[in-house]
Amino acid sequence: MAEACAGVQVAPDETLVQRACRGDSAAREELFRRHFDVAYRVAYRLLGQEQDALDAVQDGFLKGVTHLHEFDGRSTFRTWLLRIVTNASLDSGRKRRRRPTIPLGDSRTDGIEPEVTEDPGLGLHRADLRRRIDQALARLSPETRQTFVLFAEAEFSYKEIAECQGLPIGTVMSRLHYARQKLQSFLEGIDEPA
Amino acid sequence: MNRPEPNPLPLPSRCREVRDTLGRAPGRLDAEFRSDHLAECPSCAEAVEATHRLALAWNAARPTPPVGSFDATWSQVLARVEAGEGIVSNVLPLPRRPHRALAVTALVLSQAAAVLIGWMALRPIDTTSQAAPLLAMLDDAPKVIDIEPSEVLILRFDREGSLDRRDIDALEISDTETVGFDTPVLAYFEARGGS
Repeated sequence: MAEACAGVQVAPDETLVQRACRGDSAAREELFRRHFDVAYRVAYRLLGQEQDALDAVQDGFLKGVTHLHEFDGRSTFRTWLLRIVTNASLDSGRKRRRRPTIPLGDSRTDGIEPEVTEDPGLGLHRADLRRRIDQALARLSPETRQTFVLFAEAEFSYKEIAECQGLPIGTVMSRLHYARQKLQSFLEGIDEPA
Repeated sequence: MNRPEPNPLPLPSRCREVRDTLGRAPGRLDAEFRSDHLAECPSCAEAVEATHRLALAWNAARPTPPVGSFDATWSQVLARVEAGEGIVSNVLPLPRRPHRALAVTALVLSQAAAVLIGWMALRPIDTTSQAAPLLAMLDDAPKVIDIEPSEVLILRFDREGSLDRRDIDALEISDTETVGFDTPVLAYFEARGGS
């Protein structure tokens, strides 16, 4: 198993997809494992809660596994999977409205070391910073938040975002501009003494 | 005569280039921009600085999944796949008793039709009587006809004159709604959802 995993780690996603579709369960697991972190980050940024994000990733991965044979290679596997996870997150968010604020002492911050960020001038611990980002994101509309998260976290291109959200590229650009302005204004006082 | 001062503002096209790069890929703002343009353009320098600060905060606050969460998630996914979840998500839900119920319904309806046809051929014609309860005259007819939700049952009332409410009431139909009359002899019923 270890050798098999070591062997598939260097394979490109497309090769793993082919092997997974032929019934190679190790390839399938590796395929989803290598995109788990980014899928979680996207879901977390959209939902703002650890458990909600994990549930959305699980739903998205379930759909990805059961529809893997429908992946046609028009996009990368990563893009395809993140679109599915994004949709699962939006479904989840519609069912459980996104919490606008994260209470102090929330369990999701328990495992996070209060390490100082790369820029000591920011003067904020990572958990505080994340809370600020969460709060800022929560102030965006769901559609604008999705656009920004797809760009900044999933690293989608304008074109990929436009296809994912069914928007003209110009709308994607204006939404990103608006989101940046809002987030920047919310974070303006970030380097003031905490 | 005073000569006009050279315009201190940078070329708008250069600003647009910076903003466009900032928007698409802030990391690609290379030294050329910094030395060539940003030093001369406070507006662009401010925009770059704000973008840089946002990117820094965004990356520093990047969430990480709990340790072991992939394995837990994956085992749940496999269990749900094993249970058949997620495979027919785009297909309409199947009726609860699909094949057997349809077969039984078809058989019952065909028997009812046969009885009706036989009765029509042999019945005495009485033009003076009022509408009589139909099932009372059909001793051999099935008393219960089960139809699935959304199925339409068509009944032919072979009698003189038009149908009226008493004909329908006599059938003691429940959980259906009358969806139409094709006067004088046909009535359509559709089962409501659930059975």
